[in-house]
Amino acid sequence: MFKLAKIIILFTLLLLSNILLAKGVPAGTQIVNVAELTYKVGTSDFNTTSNTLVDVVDQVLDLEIICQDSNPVIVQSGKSQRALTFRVSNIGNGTDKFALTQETNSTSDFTVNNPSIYIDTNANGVFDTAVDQQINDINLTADTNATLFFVSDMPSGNFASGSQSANGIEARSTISGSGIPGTAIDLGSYFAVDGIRGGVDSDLCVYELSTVNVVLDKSATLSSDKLFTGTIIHYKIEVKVEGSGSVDNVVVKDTIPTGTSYVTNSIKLDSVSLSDNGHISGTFIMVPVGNMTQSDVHTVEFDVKVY
Amino acid sequence: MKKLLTVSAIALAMMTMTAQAEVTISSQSYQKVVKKKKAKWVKAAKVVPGSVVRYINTLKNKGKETAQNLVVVNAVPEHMEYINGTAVCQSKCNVTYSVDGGKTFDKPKKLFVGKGKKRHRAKASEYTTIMWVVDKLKGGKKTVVEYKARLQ
Repeated sequence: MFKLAKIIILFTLLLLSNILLAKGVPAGTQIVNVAELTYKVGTSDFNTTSNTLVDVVDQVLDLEIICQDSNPVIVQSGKSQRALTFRVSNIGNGTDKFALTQETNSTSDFTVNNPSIYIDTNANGVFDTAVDQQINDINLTADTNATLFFVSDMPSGNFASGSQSANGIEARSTISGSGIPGTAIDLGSYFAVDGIRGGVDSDLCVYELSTVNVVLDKSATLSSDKLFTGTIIHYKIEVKVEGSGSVDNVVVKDTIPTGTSYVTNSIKLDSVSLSDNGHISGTFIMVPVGNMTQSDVHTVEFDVKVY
Repeated sequence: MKKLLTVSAIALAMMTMTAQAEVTISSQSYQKVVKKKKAKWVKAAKVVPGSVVRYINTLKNKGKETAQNLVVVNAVPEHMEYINGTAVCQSKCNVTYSVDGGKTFDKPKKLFVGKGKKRHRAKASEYTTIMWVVDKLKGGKKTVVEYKARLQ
């Protein structure tokens, strides 16, 4: 037992200086070294070969989970299934299964209800209730990542506008995930070693309650009865504010649908034409609307052509 | 008949001398550990990406005759990158490198890789093979040649 502990400690020391450099050669890879020797004795030539030295690459268990919402996610009291976005990455050098648990900061202004974790099944970066799947763990191969959502219901009641609640996800390697960097697990043909984070990582995003809510109402009108090549689709997005208070720096952003192309100079804000420059970028439109209060309504319009 | 016996005796003596001039080579890998602020090289059974591995090839002359012009050729293992300046010998030797899998060897200043505009002097990490030439090794003695490489 003492010998085993000694080996593990030695091995830990051996690896600590390297575990920052995860990724790289896959775990289990054999590194083979052979040397050849030729020499002379008198006039006779000889040759021989060394033993075949095989070192097996160990698995570094390392991961990273990062909140993708750079600003607090604005929510309204009583609303259900509001999502915070995270990205979990396997930055080790082997496949790992990470157990996922919800985390809540106890110093938050309010506590959310029914928290759960979903994976972005269709990889569109947006939480889709009907599509994305609820999960408790995730299997990731080396150097891959996935988008996760922390989804919960907002409490009802009178909370001050600006109240915040920090919530997030902890991901832990199911191979070890001890939390102690350098901890080694014997997997038989090689070891698995907890990386610099100890095989576990977590992060928080923030909900912020607002008494105002920005509502988008999008409609489409076709230039023909059915969609044909050449059909013009006129999109109209109405932006309005519900509740009380004001919202700053509202920007309307929409994606130009696949199979269509934007019709030049068709972008408008409140029936006034805008320059394409600065409002059209590749596959989406982006129109700054500015600050809005309860009584404000703005309309963004643009056309696309089916090809 | 006497002459034949003499020739046989000489041949037997030469065979005996040849058998005594047996030089072996063994390879072992090591990794550095730091314990109580002291660095120490220990046998490496396994490695992780980024690990520096020290490969030591030990040559032993188990015979009685001196072996000469001992040439050790060691291909840098796949997934490993040679670390500049680490190929050394215990005794007097000459070290050259190859960037073409061991077909040709030369000093670092004369090693180039790539074609056309991409042709450049080879970095140590681009060396594929190392060659040590040890002048001689007396009977009953041993010497080592070694290098270090980093796992990608």
